[in-house]
Amino acid sequence: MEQSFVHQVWQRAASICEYCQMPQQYDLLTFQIDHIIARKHHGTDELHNLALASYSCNNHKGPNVAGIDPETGEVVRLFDGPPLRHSRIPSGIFHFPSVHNSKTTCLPHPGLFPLLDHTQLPVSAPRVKRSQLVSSITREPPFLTRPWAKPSHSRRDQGLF
Amino acid sequence: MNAEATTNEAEILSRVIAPEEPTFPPETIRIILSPDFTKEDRERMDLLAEKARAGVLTEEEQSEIDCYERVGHFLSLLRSKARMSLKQRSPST
Repeated sequence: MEQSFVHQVWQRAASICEYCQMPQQYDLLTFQIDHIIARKHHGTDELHNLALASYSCNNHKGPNVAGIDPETGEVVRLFDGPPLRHSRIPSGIFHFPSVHNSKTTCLPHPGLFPLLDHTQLPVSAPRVKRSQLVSSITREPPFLTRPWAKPSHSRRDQGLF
Repeated sequence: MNAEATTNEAEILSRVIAPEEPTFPPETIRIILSPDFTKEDRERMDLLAEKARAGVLTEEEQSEIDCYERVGHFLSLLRSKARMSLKQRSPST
């Protein structure tokens, strides 16, 4: 992977995990450059296929591309739009449907429930309820300038995804 | 077997540490903000993360990566509380 791409991904994401919205500055674990569509599934090293991922999100997502909605049991892509909608908002954060338009679809957070792989399912049991960590840590100012990251009264805080 | 236990772990940690309550004294803040992973640990973590992306972690490596995450989360919560305490003591910053 080109080093310049690494810098661009960090810059584009504003050093915030594109999955859980945890800022790197509040996480001791070094963020990773994730392949949204894993190399295993023929994903490329191009910028549009790269995302900044917290250490936990990177590890829990692995090579997967979809998760199970815990409310409906439906398979939901980790990113909204096949294959990719290039829907990063200006700061670099992906639009997760449940976060941004309050639809019933739950955010398939990699750390919360089993994920689906193209070839193997489920590949990962829920381990760390990372959203709780994110909401706890990011209560700390001055981070809370991003409305979708506010911990209070969110579906995330209610443990709905 | 660990699913349920670790799902609750973060909640327990958050309640115990209560990072939003800035109650640490200055000495404690200094102690908490200084520890970090070693270079060797960080290199190992990067290697494990790469394997996780490729989906080739062994069971032992998965346990190892879980340990790193738990330590990281615990320290991150403590640091958050320490920074909040520091901010509380320096309201002008």
